[in-house]
Amino acid sequence: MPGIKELKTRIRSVTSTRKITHAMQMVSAAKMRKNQTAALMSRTYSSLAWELINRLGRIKLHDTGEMEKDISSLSDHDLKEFEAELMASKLMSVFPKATKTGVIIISTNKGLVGGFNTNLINKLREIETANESFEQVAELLVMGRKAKDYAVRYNKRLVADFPKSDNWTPIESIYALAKMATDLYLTGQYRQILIIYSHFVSTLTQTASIKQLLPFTQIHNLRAAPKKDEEENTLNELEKENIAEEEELEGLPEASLEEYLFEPSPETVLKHLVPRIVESQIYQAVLESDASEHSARMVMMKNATEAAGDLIADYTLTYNQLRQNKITTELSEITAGKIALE
Amino acid sequence: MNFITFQLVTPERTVLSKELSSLSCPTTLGQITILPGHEPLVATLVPGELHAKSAKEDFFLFVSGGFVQVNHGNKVVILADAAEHHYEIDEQRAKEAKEQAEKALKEFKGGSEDYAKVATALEKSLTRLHITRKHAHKKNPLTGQGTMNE
Repeated sequence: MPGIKELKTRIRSVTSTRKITHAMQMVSAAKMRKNQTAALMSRTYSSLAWELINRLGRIKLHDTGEMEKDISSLSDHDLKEFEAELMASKLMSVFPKATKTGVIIISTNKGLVGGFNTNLINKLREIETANESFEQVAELLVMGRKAKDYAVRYNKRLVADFPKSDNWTPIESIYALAKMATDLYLTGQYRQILIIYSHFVSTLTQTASIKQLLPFTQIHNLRAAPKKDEEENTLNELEKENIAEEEELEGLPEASLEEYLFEPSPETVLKHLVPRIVESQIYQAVLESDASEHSARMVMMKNATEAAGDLIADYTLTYNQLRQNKITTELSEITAGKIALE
Repeated sequence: MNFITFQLVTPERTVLSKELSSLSCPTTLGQITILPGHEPLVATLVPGELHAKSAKEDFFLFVSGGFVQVNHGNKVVILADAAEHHYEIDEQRAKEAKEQAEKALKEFKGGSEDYAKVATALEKSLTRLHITRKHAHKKNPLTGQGTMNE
């Protein structure tokens, strides 16, 4: 049982902690509102963009092999154009021989967000445990300090570490990440690029999610892939979503998927479209993650403030009891002393 | 079905979501008009004016580039980099932006890529200015007043 003096110090210390957590709660609440609106507003754009590329992903472009043949006959300017077109079509195709998997993880910089980062890491571990070889082939691209710390501590294959701004993430700041993810995929050594981020559901709920960023043609390939394909068994959730999506797409008349008219040409449109979509998907993930982070922190700090309040009430009760006991003892001693003198 | 289900979205917001009878937008190959029953199409947009016509109203907007996608079932989606209603454009700001871009273009030293950036900026601000002036006599549905100062 702590003494009276000790209790008094504790009450004081918890009170000042509560002040801090309350202040942090207010700050997070303000940031949360801003980030939530941003995430929700851009959701339409990114989901429409994703839908578009998934529809287009089924259209067959030039065969990559055929395109490579006549490369020598092109002028410099044409070559540049040609490369961009080739890039677009490569991003939509799979590399069957590729072994590696690129994983982008978007975490927070600071802690005090409850299970936020742990959930992301668990998501990664889930794939790792389900696929024996995954750990060897997974390469991490991290954004945010917490994910970097994890990668360093557990000796993961960290390919890139992108700084995450604490305040507002401008879209320019993810161009580098988008470019790197695209370039990595274009090397042909990666079978897919995944992105792990926290999806914002509501202020109280955020779910760690995995999304396949590249290639865009996942819908085709998951089903076409042979059964022994590890990913098929493990990325169950992902697959279910895809199948649902696929069914939705299949419900449409077949022609609608094949007969898009492109202006001026499929290559030119895709050349502009594809990088934009990669960017918008990553950016959306960052926005969702920001909204989730501040919501999680706000809730955590709210809990902490409430817990501190409970603790103070508890301590105050004990303190008062002790004080009353002390007074009673003193009083009875005085009375006893007085009686002894009479 | 005699109308187009139309959505104009930018990364920041949904600018317009309406049922339209026709839609004109600036593509790389020139201004095109989409009517109900258009075949599926994907095209790149260039900075310019977008005219959306519904049964009752006309909408004039500025788009700074993006993509237009026509799907089966008369669904049209525009993914724009940025878009504004004509009455949302701040004429003063557009003028300043134009002057700034003109200045930057005049004093330009640098690579061809930067030049393209400055030139696009100028083109965008010019289009903005053009749209806001063209529709200055129209009433602003928010305030009920025209933006023209007489």
